[in-house]
Amino acid sequence: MLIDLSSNENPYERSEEAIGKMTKGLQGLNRYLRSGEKTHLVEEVADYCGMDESRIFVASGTDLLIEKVIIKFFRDRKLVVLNPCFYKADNLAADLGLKVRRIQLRPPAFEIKWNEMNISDSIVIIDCPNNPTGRFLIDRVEVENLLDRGNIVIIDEAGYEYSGKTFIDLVEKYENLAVVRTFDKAFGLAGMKAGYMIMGDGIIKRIESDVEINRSAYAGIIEGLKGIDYLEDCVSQTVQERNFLTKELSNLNLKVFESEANYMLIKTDIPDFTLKLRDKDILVHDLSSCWIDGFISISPGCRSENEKLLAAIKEML
Amino acid sequence: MIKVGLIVNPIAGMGGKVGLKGTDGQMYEKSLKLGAKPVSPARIEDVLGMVKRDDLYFISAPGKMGEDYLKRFKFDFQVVGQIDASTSSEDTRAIAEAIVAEGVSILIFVGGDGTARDILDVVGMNLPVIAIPSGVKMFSSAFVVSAHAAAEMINTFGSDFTEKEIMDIDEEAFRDNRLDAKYYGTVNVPDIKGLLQGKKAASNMKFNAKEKKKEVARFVVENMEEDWVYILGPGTTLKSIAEELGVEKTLLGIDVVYGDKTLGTDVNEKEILDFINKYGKVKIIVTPIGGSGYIFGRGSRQISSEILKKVGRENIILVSTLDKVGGLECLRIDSGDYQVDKDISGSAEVIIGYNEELVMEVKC
Repeated sequence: MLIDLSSNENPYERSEEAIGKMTKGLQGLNRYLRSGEKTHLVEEVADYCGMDESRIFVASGTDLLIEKVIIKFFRDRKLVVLNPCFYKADNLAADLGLKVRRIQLRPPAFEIKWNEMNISDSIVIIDCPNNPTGRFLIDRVEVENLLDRGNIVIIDEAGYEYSGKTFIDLVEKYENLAVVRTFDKAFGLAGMKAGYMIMGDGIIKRIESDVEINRSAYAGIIEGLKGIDYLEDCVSQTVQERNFLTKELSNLNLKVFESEANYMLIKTDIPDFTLKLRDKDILVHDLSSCWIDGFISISPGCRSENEKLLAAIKEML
Repeated sequence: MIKVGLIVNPIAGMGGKVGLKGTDGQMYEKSLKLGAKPVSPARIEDVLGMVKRDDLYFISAPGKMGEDYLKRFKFDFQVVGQIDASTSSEDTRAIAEAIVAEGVSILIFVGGDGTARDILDVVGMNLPVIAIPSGVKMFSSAFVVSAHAAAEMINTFGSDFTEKEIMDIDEEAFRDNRLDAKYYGTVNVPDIKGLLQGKKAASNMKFNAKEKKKEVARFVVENMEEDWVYILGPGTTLKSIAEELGVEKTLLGIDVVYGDKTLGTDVNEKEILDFINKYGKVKIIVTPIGGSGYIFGRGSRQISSEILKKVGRENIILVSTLDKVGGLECLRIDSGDYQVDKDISGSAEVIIGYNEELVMEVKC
């Protein structure tokens, strides 16, 4: 059976009871979501993240939310992203005639001198923690500097539940900040693909609070938000497995970078590392296609999966 | 004492500044006629001047292949073998054999890919080497990144070694605008992480890369300024820019254009300086070497430190495609003038598409 440790997914399935409740929520598939249901969803999300309902936009994935902000604010601005970047900006930027500025991540520190770069007139997308390094590559002061310079800043907190760190409070202070989060990871709803955005006042003026998801995602989120125990268990186990893998992979002399996310970055000189794992039905994310050779992203699985991964790597040594 | 071999190819790199792309075959004589000066002596003296170990005993090639440089420092050494007034690859191989016979722990050599092939023929993987670059073509990943790095390697080598490739390209093909990099074998080098340059990959004309190069070319040409002369470095990305301009471009040489006119093809250092003195407003467009990320100091030595000083950092335009440059940790420069390298170092933008750039660190 295939072990997929390549996609930053939650490896723990929801209980049959929870899936039963979500399925029950699908009754009425012949109907669009009603305004009352949308309002209810926004209230629940706002309650979960502790923000005012007027700041919340729920959509089918964070990419769509980021795209909304870019389309509204691209005029006379550049788009600044990191490299590698898993938000596919190319096509949209080309269609809009938007200049794209990529900042190459450089191991081993992955340090970005934000304050020396004098970024202005830009839309800046930063993932916190960063994918693939698992680290925070910007601090609060640097975020505020970017905002003070008038940039539109989009912080992607897809890994928020794992890191426990957030910039969400800054949306009340800065009108030009948007924070996007997802239900794909810790909530275990990747198959439904849904996310939400918390917007500063300036963003709200151009993108009003709304819900743009289908009924199945609605049912999933409503049940998901009720099952916080599941979420906390998943996060706790993933962090435990991440720490386990960090220790075991380091013992095998692989370079493992400390992570605050539900994935971890390793560096290896073992030839054909990814292909050899694939031969054993284990998938990891080889970053050489978009970044530097030898860097691999691994999403910790459950213990049995991780033990199979370690056994496969030991055979290569 | 640790016995260390030393071989310097005194003519390696001489073809670079005069635009000959190597000194194999008859090209050494030609480079002399064009006024080329030796590169290797200064390189090995730079390195030896930074060696701090006092437990080394050198087994050296005679005269200008090693002995002459050791004499200028306080190293203990003995000389093996004999050489003629003009040295050849046969000399390199014969001296390497004599040095190996003395039971050295490691062989230090200075040269280019051609020298590396000669050394490889003799030592194979039986004897570790420290490869110091001074040649024109630098496709072998065995070479250390700079003189500083070479000295660091000599100062720190122990018992850990790693395998690195020796590559070379056909110089005749190189001069004929064909890039034909070949794998010639593997050597062991001290395993000191971060000191070795990556393998220089020949840029393949894949469909997407080709389209991206066209995008880069379109963007660069649309933004070219009137009344400026542009020096175009080697490589397929620069060839795309020339095509967009509607001018001919040598794939591996340095060409000079002004508007849609070619002022010079396959020019050498002196000719470039003449253009700078005549026109004044000059920009250089180059692409980093795939694998190692060198923007100056490898591949196109015609663009010397003096030229870089005159043109200035603000008039250097870097171009590439993301598939090539995104795989590099940083860009590198080793022009031979540390101050020039330092002035160009720091954050730099590489144009990687139409309206698209990658911010990278240039290191020296």
